[in-house]
Amino acid sequence: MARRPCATIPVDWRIARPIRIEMKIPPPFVRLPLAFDSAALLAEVSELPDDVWAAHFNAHYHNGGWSGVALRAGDGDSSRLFIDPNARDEAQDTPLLARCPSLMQALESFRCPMRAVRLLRLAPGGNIDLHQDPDLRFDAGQARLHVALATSPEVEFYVDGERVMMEPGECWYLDLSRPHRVANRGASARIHLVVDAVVNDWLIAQIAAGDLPRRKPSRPSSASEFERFRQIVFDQPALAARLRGTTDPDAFVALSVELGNGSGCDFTPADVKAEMAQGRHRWIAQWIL
Amino acid sequence: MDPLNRFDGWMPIRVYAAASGYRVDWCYFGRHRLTEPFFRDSVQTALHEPFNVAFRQDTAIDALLEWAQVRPGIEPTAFIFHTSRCGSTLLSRMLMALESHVVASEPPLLDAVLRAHLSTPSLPAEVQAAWVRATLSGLAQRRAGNESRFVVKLDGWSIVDLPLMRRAYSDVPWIFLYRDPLEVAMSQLKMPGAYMVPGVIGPSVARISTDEAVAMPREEFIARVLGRIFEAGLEGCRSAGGRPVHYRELPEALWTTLAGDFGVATDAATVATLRDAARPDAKNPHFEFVRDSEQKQRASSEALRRAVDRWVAPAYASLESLRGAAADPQMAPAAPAAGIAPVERASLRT
Repeated sequence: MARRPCATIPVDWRIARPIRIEMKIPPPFVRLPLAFDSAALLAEVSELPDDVWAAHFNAHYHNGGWSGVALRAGDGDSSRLFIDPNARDEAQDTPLLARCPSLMQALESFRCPMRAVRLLRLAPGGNIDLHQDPDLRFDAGQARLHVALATSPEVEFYVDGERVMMEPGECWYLDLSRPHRVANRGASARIHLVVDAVVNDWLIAQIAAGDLPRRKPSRPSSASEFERFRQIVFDQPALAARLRGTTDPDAFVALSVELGNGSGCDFTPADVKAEMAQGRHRWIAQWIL
Repeated sequence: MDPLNRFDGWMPIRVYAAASGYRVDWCYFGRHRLTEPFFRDSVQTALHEPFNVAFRQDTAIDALLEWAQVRPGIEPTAFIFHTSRCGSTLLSRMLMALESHVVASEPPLLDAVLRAHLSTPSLPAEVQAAWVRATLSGLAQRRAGNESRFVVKLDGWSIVDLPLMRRAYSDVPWIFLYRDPLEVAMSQLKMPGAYMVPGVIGPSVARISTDEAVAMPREEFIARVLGRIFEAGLEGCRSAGGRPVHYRELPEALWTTLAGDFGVATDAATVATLRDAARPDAKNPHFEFVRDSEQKQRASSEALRRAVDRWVAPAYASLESLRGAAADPQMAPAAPAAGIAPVERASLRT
């Protein structure tokens, strides 16, 4: 695990002294040494009636294809996907979990307190725009774990601009306090078992024992296709001038995709929007400590 | 496309250290002149365009060095070093009003390069000086087409980096602009700049550890940082050819004593343009620029007076006598009585 200093300058430095602490921060993502029988778990999930899947509450940054089921939640309600960041107690099993013995057993692998357990499904064509979940900070004792149950090479999950390729049955720690986004460009739903864990010694040891498998995508990711288009634009002033002529952000995203696809670069509006957010952030971040 | 033309119309806006080495963030500016009060405002404005957030070039710093060879910018005409809160923005805004002048006002990438050795101690000074030159060359590209002068206003703490600037440009005229340190300190106490808050810009300008700095009264910290800035200005004016300029000399100095160094014409039309630009408050266009010395002096606390007397007054007094030796009688220095200047005479509004 990398060590990095964490600097905070309070607003009024006379009242509070600046804090400079060194703490262990895990990498943005890492595969844990845990394996699950994804086929058995998925069989159970597919038995769940369709109407238990609730749309994800963060509607402003997904396109409608994101839904979930709570297996453990603060109040034991299976439709409650929201996790209260202030609640520190362990969650209650929801009635649905009792109907899923394999999932129940799977959860016993996690030797750490769990604030919530959910199944999250991203439908084909589903897209979750770039965002950050600031309460999921490892140094605040929070960790998000993903167990992939159903996925495909066409699912593109990016954390901190890097693609994370998870295989069914694997469990990953993801630092989602960093910018991240997901697109399901395949034909089948992506379903993950998502555990919100409280960091303890067991979890720290799991992360320390984790690894990062090298995987080659079967086709170029849409982010790399957008990067290819950016380089084409830098080489072609006429193309750049056309893009610069459009100042409305939505129209600009649409034109970028149109010109990009026309240049043989296979990317989506999400790639353009993510780069725009990052482009803004890179400038502002130099004044954030 | 010829890779050598890749940055035509582009502006380096940020230099930063990455794992792979120093890198440059480029933004398209086209024919947009730098007319906002600060360089960062110009970038902020450019970033309202979707293209400029989605299509920025990011290169190794070597590309900037090559670009400086391929398309050298206007050689710097003059540098403005200053103490902050001393009319430096007024000065740079007046110069921006002239179409002949490219003015880079406190470009953060220059500061990043000037202080790169603090985070990269192994960086050879001659390499760092080459980076300084390449950075300024990138900023000094002709955008409207008819610019012939290039003035850089540095940051309020940059005077401590004067030796590196002199290494990069040994012949470029420069001034050290200051005002009564008690007035600067008052302003900094009320609304501190980043370098007046311990730890924010990294190692303190006054070489005070962050722990020590947060333990001392703010008045003392501010006075010690200012003291270091005034001393560096004094030292530079004595031994490295700098011209000391007092706030009180503005704005007239620009078309009189400074006109030669800054490449400013002194015909009536130019002077009218400069006077016009001097009218709005340089940092806040909503308020007219009014001399506020008297008000600042009255409001100063005893603790601040004592700290300024101890840490800054000697260097201020020396700067004032140095300036007096060179100045014409009309611009005679104030009696340098322990950091307390006489009440200002004139209003700037004419």
